[in-house]
Amino acid sequence: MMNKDIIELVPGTHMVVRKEKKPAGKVKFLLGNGAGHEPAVIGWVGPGMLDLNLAGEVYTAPSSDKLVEALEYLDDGGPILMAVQNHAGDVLNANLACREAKEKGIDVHKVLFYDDVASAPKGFEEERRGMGGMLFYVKLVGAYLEAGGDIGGAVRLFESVRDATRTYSVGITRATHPVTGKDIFTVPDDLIELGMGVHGEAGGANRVPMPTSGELAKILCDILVEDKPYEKGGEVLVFLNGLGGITFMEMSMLYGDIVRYLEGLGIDVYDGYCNNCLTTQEMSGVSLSLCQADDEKKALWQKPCRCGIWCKP
Amino acid sequence: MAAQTALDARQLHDLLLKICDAVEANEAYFCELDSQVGDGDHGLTMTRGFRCVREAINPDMAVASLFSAAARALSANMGGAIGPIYGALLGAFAKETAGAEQVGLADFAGMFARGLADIKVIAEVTEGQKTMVDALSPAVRALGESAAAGDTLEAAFQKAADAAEQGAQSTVEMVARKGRAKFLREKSVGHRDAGASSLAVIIGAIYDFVKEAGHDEKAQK
Repeated sequence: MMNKDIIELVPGTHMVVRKEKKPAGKVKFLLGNGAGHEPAVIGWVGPGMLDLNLAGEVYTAPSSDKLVEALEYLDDGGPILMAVQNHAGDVLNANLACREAKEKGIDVHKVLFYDDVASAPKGFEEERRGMGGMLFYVKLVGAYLEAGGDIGGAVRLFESVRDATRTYSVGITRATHPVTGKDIFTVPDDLIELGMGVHGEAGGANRVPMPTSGELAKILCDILVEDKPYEKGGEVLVFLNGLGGITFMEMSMLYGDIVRYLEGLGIDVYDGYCNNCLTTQEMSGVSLSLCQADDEKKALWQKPCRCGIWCKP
Repeated sequence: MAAQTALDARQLHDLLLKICDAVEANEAYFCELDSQVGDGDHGLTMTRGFRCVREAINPDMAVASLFSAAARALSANMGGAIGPIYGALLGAFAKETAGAEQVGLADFAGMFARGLADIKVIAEVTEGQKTMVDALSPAVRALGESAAAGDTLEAAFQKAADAAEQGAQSTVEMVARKGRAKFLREKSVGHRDAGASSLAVIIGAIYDFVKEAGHDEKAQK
């Protein structure tokens, strides 16, 4: 296992936990998800981020039984915040696990995340699927809890981050299911597909000719800015997530174009992060997430974190 | 002529194995259907779950124990949305057969009806949303009608299998409202739902089993 000074695998399970445990009395923070998106989300476990990540099978949410085991592992009598990405399997198993954990006396608080503007129209935000914007709540709520924040405040902050966040994705090349070996996503060389899901679910053949980096920055930003809306004079955090097959040079160029485009709209970029975090196998492409930044979120963004994808001093 | 009217625990054990065989034989088919509008792994998830059922049951188990062991195997090992859904179906079978030594047509009708009711509650699904409920609901109706009409098990499951297959086929025309396919909205039309198809395969396997069991019994007489 990598990063042995930060994390450890609980023997006989798919639970990755912090090596240096958060002291009793502080709220614990966990997330379960299907595998296949590495380094998400095992790479996000560590001080200032998650206490525990439970990985399911490839593209399959972990079962409620295993979520209950994870909650029992963390349970020290204090509250536990369980984040759930809005996908049918994740929600169903989390609901069952919460009910069972509460019957066992575990003080679990479930919060649901949705941010993908491609997946449901404006006005139906709660039906949207959970995508890359999850980095914002892991970082910001993780920092809040590391500092000893209480559960009520953590739930409020989580919901505030969710409501401030929007994500949109673009697929540039094909991807293969790592177990079946079959294509899960294809797109012709000269086209890109807008709005597909994190498992390579097609975006509904919403295809456009291959744009330049600057043109792509405009396409992605316009959709997010209009949906939220993010307004002139406001400040945002930016997360440009690579889907696995895009190079760091390509991502860096696109990141620069995104910042320039937003600032041209009068939207100030407070800070951002760019990496291959929540991937879809070998697919080239990105998801862009924006989060409206207020003073609290900016302060939490600056707090240290230490995990596989990100060490912020 | 004495057509099979009820299955005992040993036969139900063999029936579960028959279902496992059918699921495994259709792994690639379920993945193919799922890859059209989902993430292409329905066959893998089904096979993983039913392989665990195969290991969790043994021929000495009582009726309800067979179903509860199968339900636990599915709930614990499948994951995704489909794990709790099939877990709920088998869990309902266990509740409905508590203390039973045999399962006849009226019992099967009750088991499937309770399973459907439980699935609708936990997954918040109704008919017409392009899910396995669109195959299960017509099968439940067919079993209820057969029980009222006094059909044989074989005739009842023949009708139920036909109804489930027609129900699964009817999902082609539906717009998905649940699961990963729902994000495609009207573009999900034209594709057959993988979950409805796996349910239809399972009802078909039950029909095959009771047909063979009936013929075996006739042969012995």
